[in-house]
Amino acid sequence: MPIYGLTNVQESFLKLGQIRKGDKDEEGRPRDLDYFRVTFLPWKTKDGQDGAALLEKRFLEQYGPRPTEINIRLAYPDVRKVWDANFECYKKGGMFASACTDATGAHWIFRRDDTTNEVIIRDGQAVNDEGVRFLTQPLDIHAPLYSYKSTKGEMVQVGFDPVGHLFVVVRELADLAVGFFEFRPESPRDIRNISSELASFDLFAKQAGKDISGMPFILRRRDEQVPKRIGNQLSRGSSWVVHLDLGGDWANKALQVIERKALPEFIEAEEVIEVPQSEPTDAKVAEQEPPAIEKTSEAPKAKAPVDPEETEVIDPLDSRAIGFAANVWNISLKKAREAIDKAILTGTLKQPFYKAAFKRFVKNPQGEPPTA
Amino acid sequence: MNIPFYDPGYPYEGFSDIEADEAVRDYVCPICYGNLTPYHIPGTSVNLVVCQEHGNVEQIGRVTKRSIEIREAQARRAFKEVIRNLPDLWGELIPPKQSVEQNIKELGF
Repeated sequence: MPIYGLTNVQESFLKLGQIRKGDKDEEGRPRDLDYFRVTFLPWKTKDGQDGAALLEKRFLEQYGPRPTEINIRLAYPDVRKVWDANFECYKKGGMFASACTDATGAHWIFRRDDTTNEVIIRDGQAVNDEGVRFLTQPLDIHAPLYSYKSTKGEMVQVGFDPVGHLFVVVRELADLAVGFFEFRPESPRDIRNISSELASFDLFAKQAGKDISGMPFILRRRDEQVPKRIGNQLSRGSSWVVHLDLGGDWANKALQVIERKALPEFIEAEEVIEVPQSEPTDAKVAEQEPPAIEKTSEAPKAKAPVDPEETEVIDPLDSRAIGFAANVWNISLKKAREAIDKAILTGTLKQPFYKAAFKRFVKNPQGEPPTA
Repeated sequence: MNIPFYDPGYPYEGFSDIEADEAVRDYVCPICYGNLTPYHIPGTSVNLVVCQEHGNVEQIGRVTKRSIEIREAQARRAFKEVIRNLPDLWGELIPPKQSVEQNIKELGF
């Protein structure tokens, strides 16, 4: 299959769009869907075509308008580079704060000032004194971070929400552009599912001697009965939960490899029979000795043609000579030049610099091995 | 006055004049990376900040211009890595590596 992006896109790993699991109803309220809704970011190919339209057309051809399964690949072998989940809070559409949790509690990653919107914590580090003040206080992940009075006159309190970011490559679109889609689950159940499934697949891949970038995955929505809390009532209801599954025949093949690895190793060996040592007799020695070669008078040797490289004089500090040495020694040009320089200074390389002599030096920079 | 994407029934918070100026100066639309425009809502002290094509930033989000620059630089760096990580998808984009013999031949040795 030709690579359309070879001549038509920048050499960038572009974000091509988002895979979503919900949208907004007529009144602007968020609602969950039972399929994936894929949106495409605008970008132009080098020849001016609408890249998003090309991708959307191909996606619809492959998956239709309401896909519940998408074939994906992960672009990096490290889970941390393809998946993260943190608590995030947005203010008027912009990131206001983010935090993570571990066994010791919750920690700030990013935070803006309440009134000035100035960044006070970035990458978990305080930018100013206000940031230090926040970092030294315990963080309650469930507490509201700010409140505002809406245009309807209601007081709205805003706090942290869990948000996951999974960066995936859609296999059927890979020949159109080098890029990824972001799947952004915001339900704790989906985040938990993807975290645990990705961790187990990572372990599985490592056991088979591979990594997650080589595995074909399916991002899947599945109707499951899950507990739901409505007010103070707990009930069970249907929900289209997201899962990450292995696609193709990869899992079966990997299991075969793992099973083979789990078996004890059989080493093929020959039985060794010890023979009692005895002094070799003259007859045995005679057998072991190679047959003597009758010496004949040497025929006069034909005069060998002179190799033109033996007489061709070169500059050993010329870029081509340095390049040759660097390639043979598998080192940088700078180091190769230094080594040649040193050889000239110490007299290992002597004038006139014949090409053949230079090549011999490069092949054996320590000098000829001492002959017995 | 016709304000794009303005819905009086939707509970927007709105931006003060200073906030709106900052938003327009420092942020772009997260969908098309296009510039934002402030609109004053008549009869109130607040403004809406919108992308002319994709809507109110309080609904669609916004992203700083600096973030876009960082993202683009990261995307350029990531390109070389990902085409090698997924050679079955993008292997044709990997520039052919010359052998040592080829390099030496080209250098005249």
